[in-house]
Amino acid sequence: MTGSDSYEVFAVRYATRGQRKRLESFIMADDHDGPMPIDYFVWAVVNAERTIIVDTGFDHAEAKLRNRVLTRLPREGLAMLEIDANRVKDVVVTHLHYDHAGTTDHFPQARFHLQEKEMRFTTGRHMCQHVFSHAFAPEHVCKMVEHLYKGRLAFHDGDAEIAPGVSVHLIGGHTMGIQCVRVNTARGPVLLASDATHFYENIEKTAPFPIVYSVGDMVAGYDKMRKLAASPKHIIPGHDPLVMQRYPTPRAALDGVVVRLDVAPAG
Amino acid sequence: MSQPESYEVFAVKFGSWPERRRHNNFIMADPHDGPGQLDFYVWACVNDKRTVVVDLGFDRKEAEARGRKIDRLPHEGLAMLNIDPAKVGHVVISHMHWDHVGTQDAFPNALFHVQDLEMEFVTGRLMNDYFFRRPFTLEHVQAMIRRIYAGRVRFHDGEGEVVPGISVHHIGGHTLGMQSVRVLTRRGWVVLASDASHTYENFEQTQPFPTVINVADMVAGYKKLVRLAETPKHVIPGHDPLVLKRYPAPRAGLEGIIARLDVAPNA
Repeated sequence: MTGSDSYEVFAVRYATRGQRKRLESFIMADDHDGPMPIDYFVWAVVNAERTIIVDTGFDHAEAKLRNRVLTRLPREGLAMLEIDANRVKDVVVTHLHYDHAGTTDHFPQARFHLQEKEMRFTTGRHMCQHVFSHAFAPEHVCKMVEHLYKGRLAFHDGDAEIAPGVSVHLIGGHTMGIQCVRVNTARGPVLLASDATHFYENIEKTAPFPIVYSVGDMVAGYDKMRKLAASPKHIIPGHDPLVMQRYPTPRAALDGVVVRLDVAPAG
Repeated sequence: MSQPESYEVFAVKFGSWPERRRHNNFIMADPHDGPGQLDFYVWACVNDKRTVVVDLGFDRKEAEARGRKIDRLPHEGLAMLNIDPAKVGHVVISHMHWDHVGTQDAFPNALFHVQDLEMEFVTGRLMNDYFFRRPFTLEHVQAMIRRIYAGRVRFHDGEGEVVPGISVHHIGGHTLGMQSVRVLTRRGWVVLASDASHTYENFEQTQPFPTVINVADMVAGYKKLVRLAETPKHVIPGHDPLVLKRYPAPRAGLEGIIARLDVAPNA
């Protein structure tokens, strides 16, 4: 592995929500009414040569529509790491849910990496059913098609290397085309699971999340992620507040906003 | 399938494209190249219970953007048959090319019928290439996506019933999800080929049209059209000016604009 194949990896928290219960996180929740707060992240993969952003969160309009509180726009969080969204060349969109694909026009120079199956899912017959469509914003999907018609989409079908040391992997389950991102770091390959596992508990206890297209694919995805990561401690769930507790902030000024994932976790 | 009903069927011309040459309409260069005018149509299937419209043409803005001329908006042509677009319950979209799916807003209460493969095509990886994207219009595709999320689209995979006596049949070839429409009439099963065969000559002489994704599927489609129709004279091509010469106007004053297709042609 050369230096240019290894990256620093950051989780940037752009929103949080405390009023949430366990039954919203597990298909079979033992304690339905117990609290289950959730954090919202985008991720940055950085070395001297490249900056790759994973997911684009949502904006103020979408927050208002869904009654969410936005702490900061994703690009504002990235700016705290000296990353200028205007200059980012590659953005991985893990899936097209409203909280992952919302501010793509804040990245005017980026090429967007998406699984073919995700676009097929979000423009196809399943979106006639509320049970599948409710977590998507039609305007986000329309915007992604606009990027496509401007030649700015990189479609992937399964596994693909998008830069030396960075690859995407189709997982499915949560949505038809959700993908995770594997990144080489100084501590070995780290896996940004995004919503292939929202919380540590989903994958660790094989307790599927209730917003789901295929439970079978979701559970098979847990196994696939374990194989892709150097160890279970290299898997980063997409929404777990524990991520902010287990990993260190890169510097004091970023406390509570950014944590660094390419170093060993505390727990 | 329900007990089939019988329909009156009309071709409504809303524009023409007189500048075309024969080599624009046939994939194999013609040493005796000559004029190859095409006309633009939408179609209506009507009985005392229902009105089903096939394709939506395009509007004046699209005509200007593409340098084409229209004589009337498609729904203005339908109004000549006393069809109120607000009361149309079903619209079949044969395919998503710019000249077939443009005036969606004029039909606010219709359920739209489209093939799975057509949406997959127009939002999929081939659209990264201008060659494939050129005949599609981003705003048309986005309008269809919004309609899907509003629950106003019914997807078909292959063959499907629209209403009793009217069915769609996947053809492919011209686009990935091209479908034709089979309608029961007093003279038997009529097939509205739309662009599965632009002219009589395409399907009668097995001369593929040059805008094509898969020539083999297009040619197989010519045979399928004939198989679906009562006789070859029951196949109605999608753009042929001969349609208005072979079929009579439904009443005086509509000659050269509307032809009635549920009666025998004169050639």
